Amino acid sequence: MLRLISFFSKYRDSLLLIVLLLISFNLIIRANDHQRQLSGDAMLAASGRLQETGLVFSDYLNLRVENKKLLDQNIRLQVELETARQQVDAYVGALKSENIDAVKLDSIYLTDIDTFGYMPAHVIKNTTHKSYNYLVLNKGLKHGVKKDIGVVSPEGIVGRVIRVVNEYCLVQSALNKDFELMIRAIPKGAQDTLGPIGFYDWDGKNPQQASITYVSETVPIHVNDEVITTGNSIVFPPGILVGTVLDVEKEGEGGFYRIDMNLATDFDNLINVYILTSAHKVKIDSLEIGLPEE
Amino acid sequence: MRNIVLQISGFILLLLLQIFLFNHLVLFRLAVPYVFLLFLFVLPLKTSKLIIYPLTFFMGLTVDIFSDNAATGLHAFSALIAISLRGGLASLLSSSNFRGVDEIEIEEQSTIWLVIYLGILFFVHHFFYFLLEDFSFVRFLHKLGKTFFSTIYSTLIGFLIFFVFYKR
Repeated sequence: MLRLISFFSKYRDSLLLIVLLLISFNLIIRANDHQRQLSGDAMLAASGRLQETGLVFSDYLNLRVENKKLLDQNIRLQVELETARQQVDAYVGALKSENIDAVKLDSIYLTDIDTFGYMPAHVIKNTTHKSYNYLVLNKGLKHGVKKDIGVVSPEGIVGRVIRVVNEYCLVQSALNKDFELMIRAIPKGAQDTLGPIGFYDWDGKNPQQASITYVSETVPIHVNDEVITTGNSIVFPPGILVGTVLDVEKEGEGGFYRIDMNLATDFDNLINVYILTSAHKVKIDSLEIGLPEE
Repeated sequence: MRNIVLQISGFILLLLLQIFLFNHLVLFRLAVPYVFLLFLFVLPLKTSKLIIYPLTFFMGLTVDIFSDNAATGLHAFSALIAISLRGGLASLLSSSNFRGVDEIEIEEQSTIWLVIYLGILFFVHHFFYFLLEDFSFVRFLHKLGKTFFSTIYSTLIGFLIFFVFYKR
């Protein structure tokens, strides 16, 4: 017994070191085990609040760039609105000549469109240099944010909400090795959304580039084609810009392309983003209740 | 007493600086300065390890939590490894003086001694940090590059802070 005590007192420093190393190593392993998750809800709230106070100053410095970005988007949307309006007018004109009730037309429109809403949010924390990047936004449960919904910027996709607390939400950035998305390449400016489908893949290195894997070789793809979301999930609606094709190469003998693309979103200068809200999400989620987890 | 108050305020100040300033001073997406370690590296060498190890663990964990790391415990683990090499490194660097580790005063050492001392310790921490961040050896050269440039960056800032606030 006495020897045991003397043993412990002799090596107590090293023993303490080993115990602490094991604890921290265990923490690292656990995070790797499952989907990489950050520390708990309370920590997200606390860290969000802390960062938000620090943001007061840097916000002013970025106003000019941010204004420019929003103005550009405004112009783009206005043009889009104008063309859409002309199209609708043309349709309505054509239908009226066939004596169909205008009221009926309205009801067709309202029930059939999958309504995705856009909720403006502010980025209060963002990294781009890690292999697994995350963002914190200043919108949470209080504002109606839910888990697993998409986040976009004026330029393109940003990420997916993975955790929500009362006032903040944590977003898995597209610059994250775990980020998954089905995407589609279409010729620039094409109206229809038909084109080869592939899987989004970020290698953890360059925040301006990502790749698309498993694109079938049967469909031709050209440099400068646009890459957009497919809308096959309820996270993003179809047709949101992801990037533009930079380089196409064959991947092994499997009959697949591997495509490098420039990302549309400038992740280094993200300030204003939009959280998507889907009216159909609740309904779709309720369908999945009771299904076995993966 | 005055010394303890100074150390505690230094501890808090470096922690806050790391979270709010240094975490955001990323250069070319390669170099990140993890300067909070400076506080631990230059604690008097005679400080009991029973204090230093838990302090390192706590400080690393705090930075982990507030910098949204992929895994909590990354800084804690790497900092513990670096700090455990501190005594051995100090005595190795000043072997010609034939003194015990406890009597080496970090503040009294020459500039070159300090730069080498801080550089090696920062390197050890950064190496384990970037390696464990991905938990794989894929793209090892990229990680090594990150480690190398971050070490230079951290050492530079760390040395400046040391020169301004610690050196008598």
